[in-house]
Formats: sequence, structure tokens, C-alpha cells
Amino acid sequence: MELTIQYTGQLASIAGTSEEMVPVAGDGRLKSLVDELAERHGRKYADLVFDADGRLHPSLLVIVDGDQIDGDRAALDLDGVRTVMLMTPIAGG
Amino acid sequence: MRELTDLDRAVYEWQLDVPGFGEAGQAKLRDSTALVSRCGGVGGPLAFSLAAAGIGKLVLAHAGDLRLDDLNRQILMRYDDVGKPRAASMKATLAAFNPHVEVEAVEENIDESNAADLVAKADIVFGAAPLFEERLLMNRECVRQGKPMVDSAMYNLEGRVVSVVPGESACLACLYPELPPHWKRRFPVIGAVAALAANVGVMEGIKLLTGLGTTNLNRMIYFDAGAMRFQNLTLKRNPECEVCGSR
Repeated sequence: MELTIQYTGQLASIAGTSEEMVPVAGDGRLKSLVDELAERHGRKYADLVFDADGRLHPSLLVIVDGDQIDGDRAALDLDGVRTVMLMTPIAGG
Repeated sequence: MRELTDLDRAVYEWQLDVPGFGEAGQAKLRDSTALVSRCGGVGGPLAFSLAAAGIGKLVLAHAGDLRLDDLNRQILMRYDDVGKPRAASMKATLAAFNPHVEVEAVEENIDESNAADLVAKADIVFGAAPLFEERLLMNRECVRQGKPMVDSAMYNLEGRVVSVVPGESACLACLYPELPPHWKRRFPVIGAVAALAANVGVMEGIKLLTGLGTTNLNRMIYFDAGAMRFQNLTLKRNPECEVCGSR
């Protein structure tokens, strides 16, 4: 199964693209997917999406098919998901 | 609410024709005060469009002088303003553009010492600061005082606009509970992208002030000008938010 990842803000700059298709990784949960993406895109990317303990950063917005995901985001089952949007905070003014 | 004057009717004639706006909407705008922080690539077009629409009063908060590298996005300032305070330059431009709008230039950035007083002056707050510390401080103060806030942000070719109505919608701290450690004040920007984020924010603000259209609460308007993709994303309040969770 593949889904579309949309990168925004600094993540898009680091990934060099605002969108890519990726296979659902590992156990099919969001955390496994983000782990895989961090491995693919390197340390700077990982620094933006994870906190110091390696968990999804509290200020990383995760939007799935247009809706923000809250609660236990890491465990989100990606079955049937078409698009995951990862949004790091931006404050350009 | 005071009726419009003949001059008001003459100046705003074309927008009085907007269905759902009319004289009542114009009078609400004229009787409203907006705080804009700061006077940058987003704050400038914000203030400009609010003045064009006939907001009653603008409070512009910004410390610091105009530099050459600001000019690609500072549409209210000119080359001969370089080295002069940005807030004062913007005030002068706005005064010439629409002399019926009262403009107060505050040559300070939002911080703990002034946030409460500056937010108290306004009916609505527009966040356009380049640092999260300022945006989150305004958000906290708006929630505390029950004032609506529109946050317009951009980076590179992307913009995001979030409207906050305390007690009704997710606030900025719901979305960003911790300061993002990697955000830097220096960011890539084309002026038109900043102005686009600003003007989406202005429309959201006008709607909140006047009741025009549909309010965009618990949503984020997101655009990527690179792909010209616009999305209206659904947001969620955080019931445990340290700023608005108890409201």
C-alpha cells in the first residue's frame, strides 16, 4: 500500500519536495512511517519531527486526509489513508 | 452604532454592495480597533488592506528600523525610509492612503511587559511576528481577554492562516504546545506570498468583526504557492491545552 506524504515548511526544504508517494512501512502505524522517512531524509529532518526522546514532536502537526490527528498519533493505523501531511510550525511574518 | 457618513458611503460604495456586508458591516469595521504585530512582510499588507476596508483604528507594534533587505516585502515603506522606524514609516503611509483611519505606532515588539495592554486596546489581534514567542504570547493574552485573533504565517512559498476565538476554537497553543526549537527568524520569502497570507488573514478578520460569510474556526487555511494548492484543514482543540483548555 502506498500513500502520499505532503511536506510543508522546513520539512519540504529538507526533503527537496513538497510531496512524494511512499509505501506504508513496518507495522502500518504512523510512527513507523515517520521513522522510515527520517531515515530517508537524514538528521535535519529527524530533528524537526522528533523530540529529544525520539517521540513525534508535540508541535508537529499531523494532518491525515485533511483532518488534524490528535491523541496517540504514533499509533495511528494508516490502513485506508490516502494522504499524510506533516507540518512543522512556521512563523514567517 | 453610529450611522455611516456621506463620506463613508462615497469611499466604501463598492464594498457596501457586497451581500451580507452593507452599511452595518462597514459601521462595525469603522468602530473596530485592530492590533497588528509586527510591521513586516505580512503585517504591512495586513494593515494596508484593513485600512483600505475602513477599519476604525490600527495599533501597529514593531521595534526596529527598516533595512535594505526588508524592501522586497515592505509594501508600505520606501527606499528613503531605510534606517527609520518601521512602525512610524507604516503609519505615515497609511495616513496618506486613508486619513480616516486612526493609526497608533508603537515602537515595541510584543513581550510580557506590554502584551496585556496592547491586546486590551484592540477588538481583534492579527499575529504576524517572526518569532513564536510573540505569537504565542499574543495568543495567550487573547485567550485571557476573550479577544479573537487571526494568525497569518508564511515560509518560503507557503502560508497558513488560523483564526482563534477563545472558548470556541483551537488556539495556537493547542497546535503548538512547545516552542519549535529549529525555527529561525531568518526565512525565505517572496513578498507576494507574505501578502497573500496577510490578505487571507484580513478576510478572516473582517468576517469575525462583521459577521460576513462563514467563520473558519477549528480550521487552517493552508496554501502552497509553488503548486498553487489551497487547502482548508480541520483542526482540533486540545482539551488539555495549558492556555485555553479550561475555557
